[in-house]
This record gives sequence, structure tokens and C-alpha cells, in this order.
Amino acid sequence: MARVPIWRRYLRFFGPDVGADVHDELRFHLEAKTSELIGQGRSPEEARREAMRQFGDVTQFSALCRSLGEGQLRKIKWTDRLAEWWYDVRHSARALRRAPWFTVVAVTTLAAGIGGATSMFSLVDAWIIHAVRFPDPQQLVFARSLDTRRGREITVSFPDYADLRDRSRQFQSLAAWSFDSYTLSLENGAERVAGAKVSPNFFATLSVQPVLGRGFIGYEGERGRHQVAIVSHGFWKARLNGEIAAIGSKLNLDGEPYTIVGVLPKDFHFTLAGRVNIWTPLAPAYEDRTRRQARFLQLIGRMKPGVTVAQARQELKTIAGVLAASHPDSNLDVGCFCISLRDEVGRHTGDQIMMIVFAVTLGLLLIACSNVANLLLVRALARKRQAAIQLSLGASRRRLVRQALVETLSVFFMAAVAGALVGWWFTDFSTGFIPYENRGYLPNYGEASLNWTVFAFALAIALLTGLMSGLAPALENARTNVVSVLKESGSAVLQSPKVKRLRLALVTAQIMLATILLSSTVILVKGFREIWSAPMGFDSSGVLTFALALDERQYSDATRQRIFFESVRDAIAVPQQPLKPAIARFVPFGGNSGRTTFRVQDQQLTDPRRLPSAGFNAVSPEFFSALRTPVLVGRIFESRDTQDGPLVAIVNDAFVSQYFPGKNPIGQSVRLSRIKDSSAEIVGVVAEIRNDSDPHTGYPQIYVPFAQEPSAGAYLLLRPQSTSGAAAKPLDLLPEIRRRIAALDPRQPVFDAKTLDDRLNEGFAPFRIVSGILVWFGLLALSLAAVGVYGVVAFSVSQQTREIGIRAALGAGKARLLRMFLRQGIVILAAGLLPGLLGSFAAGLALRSLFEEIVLPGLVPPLLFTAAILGVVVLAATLLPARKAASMDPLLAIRYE
Amino acid sequence: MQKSSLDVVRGTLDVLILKTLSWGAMHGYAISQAILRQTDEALLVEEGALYPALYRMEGKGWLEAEWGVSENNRRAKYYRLTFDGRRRLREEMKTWTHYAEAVGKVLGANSKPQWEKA
Repeated sequence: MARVPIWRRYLRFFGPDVGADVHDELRFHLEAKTSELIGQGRSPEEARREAMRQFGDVTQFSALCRSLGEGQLRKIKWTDRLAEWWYDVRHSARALRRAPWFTVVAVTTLAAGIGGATSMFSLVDAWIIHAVRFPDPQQLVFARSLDTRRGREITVSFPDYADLRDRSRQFQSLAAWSFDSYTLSLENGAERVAGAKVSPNFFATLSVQPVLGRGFIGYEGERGRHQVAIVSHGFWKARLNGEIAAIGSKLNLDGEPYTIVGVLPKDFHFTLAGRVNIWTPLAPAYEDRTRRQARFLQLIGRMKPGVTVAQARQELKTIAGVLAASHPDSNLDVGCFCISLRDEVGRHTGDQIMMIVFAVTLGLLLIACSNVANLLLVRALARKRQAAIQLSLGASRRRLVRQALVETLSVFFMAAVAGALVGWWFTDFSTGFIPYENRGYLPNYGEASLNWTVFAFALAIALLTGLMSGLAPALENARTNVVSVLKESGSAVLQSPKVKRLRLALVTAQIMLATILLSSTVILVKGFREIWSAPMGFDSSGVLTFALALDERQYSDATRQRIFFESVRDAIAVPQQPLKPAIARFVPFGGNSGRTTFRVQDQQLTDPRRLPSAGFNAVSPEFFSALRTPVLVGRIFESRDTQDGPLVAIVNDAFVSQYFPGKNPIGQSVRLSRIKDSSAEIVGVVAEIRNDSDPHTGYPQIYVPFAQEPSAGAYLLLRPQSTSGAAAKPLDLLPEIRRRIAALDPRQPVFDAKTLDDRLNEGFAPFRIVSGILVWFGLLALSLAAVGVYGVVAFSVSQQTREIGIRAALGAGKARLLRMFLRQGIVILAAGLLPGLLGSFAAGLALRSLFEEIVLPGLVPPLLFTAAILGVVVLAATLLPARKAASMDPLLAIRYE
Repeated sequence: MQKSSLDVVRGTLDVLILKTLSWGAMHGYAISQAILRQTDEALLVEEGALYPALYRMEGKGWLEAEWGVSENNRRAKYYRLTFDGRRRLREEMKTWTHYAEAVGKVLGANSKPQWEKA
């Protein structure tokens, strides 16, 4: 048997072909026989016929052989394939172990991209996309009245609600609710619990069934029959021991016995009302039931199937128009509107913020993918030589491609596991990051879990890039001309201009994406920082605040309320300290605030029904000193501003510049509609106090003495001073405070006790959280881009090592060599940075138009900052491998392969 | 060759192929010519019948085949014995010798066999 030339082995390249084999074999037999017969002296024609005759039925024999051969092949294939796959898996495991850097970088990069993207999307999904978890959520709308003159949303009065409910045709049902809290009396004292009053059809509107007991019945909205309650699942478990007997038992709320009739499902959460534990029927007293000025309700409606939000909105607007015409004294300029419940919830949880974070993450995923693409590309091409050797030793092309496939898949498998861990951890971390108190207002209490569909999606995207970047070159390898590859030195293949261009394009795109991500992050983070660093108008440090809500049957008139609060103030004061606690109707960042319309005494109004309005608060004389708010002009309240004295007021500087521009406000008087239109003399001007996370200033505010306008509910503020030098922890005082107040009246619970610092933290928490997340993602994007650039440059350096050696041997200095690589780095940097900066500029403008309520900084400093950071990172990533190469022994370098 | 004796022939053909290949790897044509020469064309009437036998034996793992190049530089499929094939050949040869001896004894007998009483 002669030696078999290589090419002959590859005639059956695409797997065995039994039919062709049989054909070839039989033909060989016939031809051999024919030529033998010719050798015996027969004519060719005769010889062929004789050969056929001696052979027998060719068709029959070849069919027989084929079926025998194929059956055999099937048997072999099945087991062999399995063995081959297993071999490939082990082979790629070995290969990956031999290249630990490639493996680690590829897996971490992918894991960061996949995990980050997934967890971010999971949060967006839980908090925005699926924020409303009621049946047929698209039918649910949120409705409110509208102050059409100021373009502000306002709450709805009960008579308006009743009219909207009865006249509308587009709704299956329209429900109303208002926040409330109750004093829950227990055997040993009392406690304040969050609650809500809802119209009896509220739960039916949401299509929610209590898990235990029943929902409210229509007549329970009548006063006198309203003493029933539905409790949250959490309250039932924690306070009623989860007993079925809880149904029918009584709760003492605000001194009245309420019968528990139902327990809500565990996952029930009505985001807009926050963490509510007790639900009672809405049954307003006569005053609130009839007065259209008493606006205290929010509405939620379920539209009939097929009705659009726009149609519902149009109808509500029409009805509001009718009401405005029939009740002009109360409803002039009062419209009504609705938006989908999902959008309303989104407004509260920051739709735009989450979308931005999502976009950032997607960008991150892209960077990670291009990084890995680059790595795989290099790896596959570097194996070109190996592939050629394998081919020449008889490996099939299919097998070569499959090896590359298995290796790519192994990397992705590891990345998927690591990515799931990262995603799971990050989702947990992000939700755990949210202060407990703030979770009530997030859908599902801010709890989100990793969304596996999304995980699969992110993995699929990554896998697609992986296959394109890992398999395309592998296919190319399989098609190579073995001889030419073997003759080339290993590095030449990788320097083909096509490959180089592709890799440069990838790294350029990475730098571009990183630039956009980083600059957007910087702009947003800087904008958010503005929110909590803008002047507050008060000093929050070390101030303790807590609330009391007096039982109005017991403290029915203003005098009793004033006396009680003043005695509380005196009871909790520390005798040695000059600064007494302050009383205030509202505190900054307390979650609610008052408003009043007013009339400046001698100003003429075009329409007496259209009054200007300002923020309102009733405070004791100690308020401004407790908050250390600067008094600009005049005086603060004093002990002489009593019930019997003339009504006085303090305004803020924004009020002065708006209503008394260029005039001395002291001595002017304003009529306050909130205090029965009485006239108050302005005695002082203070700095503007920020009331919430809104960083804008210029909101006019009016203060009156608490003594002249007391209320049943109010806050106390105190700034305990350290007596022994060590700073006193304000919250440590609470037990003593509770004891002293209980000594005055044990039925009035202290609630909402927090330091002012905590209130600020809570108020800013959403911005801080997002800001923190963005910083993490920005850093991640930056480091991924750095890894990408480092990879490309380090590789191209290693490819040029021989050239470097020759240059060095010929006398090129180290500095010169470094400059050569630096130039390369700068080209890459410029190519990515310039389009990146253009993109960043566009992104910055988009961000500005998206976040009107946030003061975003100018675009130029963040862009310069980003460019500087990326420049440093990219050049460092260039210089590190270049230095190494430049300081190599030229002799070694020349021999380097 | 008659139909009734086909099985005998098939078994015989297998042994002949195994025996022929015991001298070394050969392609199908060479095998057929060797068998024809050695048996005076008594056992292989149609040369084509060789091939299904070869495929069947390859399937049983007695033979292995590989494409190679023939004496006159043509592509040809070469068969060689595997380890199993050699063992098979030894067994078959033993059986055949016993069988041939037995049949030979019967056919070569010159006295009528005696029936033994029970």
C-alpha cells in the first residue's frame, strides 16, 4: 500500500458519504477487472461486458452495501459524537486554564455586563413596568381636581367626588380615598398607626378580594355604620397573631370601637397610600360631606373595557365644567383630570431616573460585549496556526469550528453563573439600600428580585456577540490554506489590515460609549448633588422632631389644644437649657405642609375669587431659633403674641420680593383666608426654609404664631444641648419624653419621631440611591473601557515585540519607542473620544430637557472632566505594556515569537 | 450454486475472506481474484457478492477498511483483519476442520453404520 497524500484524506470533508464510497469501490473493481481482461487480449468493449457479467447485478449489490454501511455509520456516530463533545469540553477547559488572564477578564467583564444589566432591568421592571399589580391595570386611572388657573393638581371634595361618580359613564367604578392615621388604644398606652379612609367600593375598584373576611359594603359609607375596619396582612400577622378569630374582634381607633371585617392579601400594596395598616370606610361628617371647599380626597377609577384614558379624561373635564357652572363660588377654575395609575405611580418613583439608569446599564452591557468580542477575536485569530496544524493532522473542519464553539460557550457558561450572582447581589443591595421608611411609597415595598427572563435576554445578547466574535474567525480558520499559514510566522496573521481595523473599531466604540456613559453620569450626579447641597435655610443637626395628634373630642377647641401643646413643651424642656422646645404645625421634610390663600391689604384684585396663595405654618416663638434660621428684618414671635393680642405674621424673603418688591414689609398686613380672613400684621422676615427635596427656591411662605392659630395635630422640635461636652443623641431622649407626655395624658401617643437629619436623609434618599448606583456604573464603564484599551494595546505590543527588538538593536532609545506606542494610544483615544464627546453633548441636552425639576450643571465642565479621566486611563493603559516592551532585552525581543 | 445451500456458502465465503486477509491488507478486487484462483471459481460465482459480505463483516468489527492507493496508483478501499477478525478466523477454521472431518468420516465410510440397541 502506497503512502496516502494528504489531500486524498479530505475527499470526504463533510463527513462520510457511504453511497459515494460504495460507488467508488465497485467501479474500481470493474475497472481493474476490465483492464486485466484487456491484458489477456480482449477488446475493451468485450472486456467491459465480461467484467460486468462476472460481477453480477451491480445495482443490487451496491444497494445492499449502502444499506449495510449506513446502518453501521449510524451506530458509530451516536457514541462517537458524545465522546467528541466531551473531549472538546475537556480540551477547552484545559485551554482556558492555560490562558487564565483571558478567562478571568472575559468572565468578569461579561458577568459585570450581564449581571448589571439584568439587575437594573429587574429594578425598572419591578418599580416601573409592573408597578401596578392589580388585575387589568390598564383600566385603572388616578384622578384629581385641577386648579386650572395655577395649573396645579388639587385634591377632590366629597360632593365633587359624588357628582363625578354618579355622572360619569366611562367608569365601571370610581373610588375615593384619603390618608389618615389613627390612635390605636391598647391596654398599656396608645400608638399611632398609618391608615386610610376609602369609599366602600375602593377594593372592588382595584379588583382586590380580602383573603379573610369581606370587603366594605355600600352602606358602610354612611356615618354611624362606618365603624368597621380592614387590616393589612402584616398588621394581622404582627398585631392580631394571624388568628382567624381576629375577624369580628374590635379595634379601638381614635377612641371608637371598630369591628375588623377583613384581612387583605399579603402582596396587596397600594403604592400611592404608602404603608397602610388599617383601612376604614370613608364616611365624612356633615361639614366635609357637603362643603365643596373641603378638598381631601384622591380618586381612583376603573374604566369600562375599551375606554381610553383620553376619553375618561375628557368626560371628567366635562363634568367638572358643569360643576363649575353650577357652583361658581367653590368650583370656578376647578377642573378634573386623570392619568393612568401606572403613570401616577411612575411619577412618584421617578420614571425618568430609572429609565436613565437603564440606558446606562445597557451601554455598560454593550461595552462589556465589545470587550469580550475583542478578546475572543484575538484568541481565535491567534489560534490560526494551531488550527492549520490540526487540519493538516486530519482534524475535520467541523471539528475545529466546534472546538471554538465549545470554548466560547464555556466562557459564557461561567459568565452566566457569575453574572447571575452579580445580578442577584446587586438587586438585593439596591433594594436593601433604600431606607425602610421610604419603601412604603415604592411599589411592592421596593422589593425586587432578579428577573430571569431579563437575565436570559442579557445572556442572549452577550452570547450573540460572543458567537459572532468567536465563531466568525473560527470559520475563517477552518477555511485557511494550511500550507500558507504554516509557512507564515504566528504573528503575521493577526496583523492583517482587516482584523486590525475591526479591533480598532471595537475599541474605539468602547471609548465612545464610555465617554457618553461617564459624562452623563457626571452630569446627573452633579445635578443630584445640587439637590441636597442647596441651602436649606435651617440647621438640621441635632434637632429632634416628633408629632402629636390630639383626640379632637377631648381637645375640641383651640384653647385646650394650645394649652396642651404648651404644657408638653414646658414638660419636656430641660431646666438648665435656655433654648426651649418649639411647637410647629409642620416641620421641614415632614412630608406635609400647609397652604393658604391671602390678600395683601391695599392691593386691588381683578377677581376677588382668585387669590394668591403661599405656604402656611403656625409656629411657636422658639421655632426659628431651634432651626437657626436667620431672621432678616424685624422680629420673631414673642410671648406677647397671644390669643388675645393682635394677629401677627412672619413672611420669608421670597414672599417679600414677590408681593412687596422694594417696599418695607414690616407693618403691612395680609388677610389670611385660612384664619377666617382675619388681617395679620407682618412683624418680621426670615430666610426661606426648604420644605422638601425640590432644590428650587422662591416659594413664598407665611408664618403665624401657634398660640394664635393652634391645631389638634402639631410637631415639637427640640435641640438638646450636650451638658457634659459629649454630643447628646437626640433620639436617646425619646423614652423620657414619652414618659413626661404620658404623665400629662397617657392617651396621646408620640409618633413620627425622627431627627431632622433623618428626615433630610429620607427626603434625599431616592436621589442619593440613584446617584450612588450611577457612580458605580460610571466607574465600571470606565474600568471596562480601560481593560479594553489595555487589551488591544498590550496585544499589539506583543505582536510588535520583534520589531521593537530590531529597532532597539539598531539604536532606537526607550523614549523613542514609548513615543511610538503613545502615538498609537492617542490615535485610539482621539478616535473614540471625539464622537464620544459629541454624543455626550447630545445626551447632556436630552438630560436637561428630561429633568426640568433638577438644576443640571453646565455641560462643559463635566465633559472636560470626562475627557480628562478617559485620557489618563487610556494613556495609562497604553504606556504600561509599552514600557514593558521597550525595556526588554533586544536580543530576546528579536527571538520573541 | 443452489438456493438451499446459500447459507453454507455465505459462511464459507466469510471464512475465505478472513483467511485471504490474514496475509495482509487487500482491496476488494484483489480479494475476489485470490478467492477465485484458490477455489477454481467454485465458491464465488458472482464477484459482486463479495462486497455485501465485506460490508457485513466490517459492521461486525472483524474487518476495518481504509481508503488507500492501489498498485497502479488508483484510489482503492483496503480491508484488513482486526483483532476480533483474527480470533474469528481461528474459531471458524477449527469449526471447519471438525465439520469437514465429520462429514469426511461419514462420506468416506466403507461399512454400514450399526444401530445400537437401547
